Amino acid sequence: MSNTEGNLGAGEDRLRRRREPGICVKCRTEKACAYVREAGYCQPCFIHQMTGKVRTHLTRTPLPGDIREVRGKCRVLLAFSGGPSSRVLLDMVAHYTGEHVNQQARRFGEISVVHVDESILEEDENASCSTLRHDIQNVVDSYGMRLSVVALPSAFSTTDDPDGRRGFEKCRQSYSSNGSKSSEEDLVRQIKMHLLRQVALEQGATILLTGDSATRTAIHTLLEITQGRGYTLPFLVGPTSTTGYPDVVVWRPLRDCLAKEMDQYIAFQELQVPKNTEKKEDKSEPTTLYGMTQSFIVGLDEGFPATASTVARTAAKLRVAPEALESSDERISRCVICDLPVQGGSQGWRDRCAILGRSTKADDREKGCGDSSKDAGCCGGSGDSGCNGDRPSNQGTSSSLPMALCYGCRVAASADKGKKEDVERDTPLLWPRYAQHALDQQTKDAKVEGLREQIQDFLLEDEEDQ
Amino acid sequence: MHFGACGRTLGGRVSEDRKQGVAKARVCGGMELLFDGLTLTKATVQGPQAGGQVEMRHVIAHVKDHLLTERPDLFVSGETVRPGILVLINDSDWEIEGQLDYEVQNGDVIVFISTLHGG
Repeated sequence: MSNTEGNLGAGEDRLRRRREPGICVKCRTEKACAYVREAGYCQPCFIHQMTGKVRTHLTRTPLPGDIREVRGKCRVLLAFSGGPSSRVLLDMVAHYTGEHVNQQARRFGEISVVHVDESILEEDENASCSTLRHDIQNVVDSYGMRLSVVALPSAFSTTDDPDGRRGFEKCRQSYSSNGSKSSEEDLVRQIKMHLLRQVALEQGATILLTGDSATRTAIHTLLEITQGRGYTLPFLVGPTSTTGYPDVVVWRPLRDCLAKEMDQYIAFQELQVPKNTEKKEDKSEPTTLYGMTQSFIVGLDEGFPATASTVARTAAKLRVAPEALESSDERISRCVICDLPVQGGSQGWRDRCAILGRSTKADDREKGCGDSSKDAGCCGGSGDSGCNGDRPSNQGTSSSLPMALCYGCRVAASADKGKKEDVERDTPLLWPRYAQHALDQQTKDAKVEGLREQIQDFLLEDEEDQ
Repeated sequence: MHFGACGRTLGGRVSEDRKQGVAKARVCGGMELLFDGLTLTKATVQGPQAGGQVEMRHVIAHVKDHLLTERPDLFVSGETVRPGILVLINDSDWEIEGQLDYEVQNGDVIVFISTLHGG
């Protein structure tokens, strides 16, 4: 009995000492100066535990391919926006590879850096572009790594429009024409990811490192669900993209670190951050889905400090059903915009959506219908006012959006504001060059397949031939 | 620590007759936009009463009233800072130091960092 009490007493004492306010929970001697998830760390312990998390990810994540063949040779591309998270990632990866100068212990081959130039999105494009590029070059040079820069509009470059600026602006306008910035943000995200993968392919890299933090992962988990990307969520927010992309595997080594930890690491290590400014929205209330999701997560995290990490860790457990990826009867169809697998029947699901948004009385009047009391927002065609009725089905209309879009890209490209007619565009969107190429290829394949089906009965089997 | 020259420095002299804190305040992580490009400043903050201690809540109120140039709702929420803003007092997280109740000492360096950033 006395032993039990003694043990309990020792346990409580340990717990008390562990949580002694102001003292580091790891070394229990130094004064804490960083506070993460209700635990205080001194500066050396904080840096040690943070680098440990990243090192664990870099060391234990399986390399793509046969480990005996790729170990020490696997080329890696690091995506560097110049912001705090990717700045921390660059510093940590450089230290990690610097530790393993011994050829036997080396896990990766050459590590290079890529930056996607987004200055076209800035108001003062020329000033921000030159300063940022110069600062980014300085930072990357300080680690002795090679930097590649690719401009965002280059995804639209053609012979008539070599830098792709006109094409990008046109596409961007069509996405944001309804006043929704969320669709435009989504488009930019997809194009950025494509450009990163394209550079990785050109350089022969099989791993792409991104600086997604736990906070950002939590935000994206909710965001992607709201944007209809639930099916591909494991590829978008998991520790690695696994089989999501056909050519490159995306690793997210910082996904166990909060955004707050990044900033503390930068402050402790006195790192230079080239892009240390954030584009503020004009209104105090967020106007995009990303802004709203960010406010929600950050606000919740303030009262419940484990929110972001819990959401991120839960999302890491999500898996795509293997049978969905290993379907034997047909090839996995991929979205031409995001290049991720498309869930079967996404077009049908979209067409069956009865309510796409709120319909106002003004909208109803325009359509010649005054009855907006019903759920669908109008009389549904039952009135005598000439209303066609927005029936859930897509009968009698043909969407100009190609079938080769996943549900999320379809929603973003639809530019719908709740009105069905917006979904069915009269004029086709201007697609990025890579998407147009994929679309043409898919159309060609479909034609070949159609022809094959038509002549199927007349084809001789090999056995019959013999 | 960060690129670019520090912005304007607002001076403050130590006055011996009244209790007041002279602290250096630094803003970064995108919050410079709310401070008209100001990144580092020295500010003299007075307590609510003569002889009273200056606490972090007074510093935040001072920053809001005298240094912030636009959209205070992006910086403060009530008498504290908005969620997503990391406050370091002498390179130490203010949650360890007592947050709003921390008594500011002369020469303290207080950093406000927005953690709402992209990649």
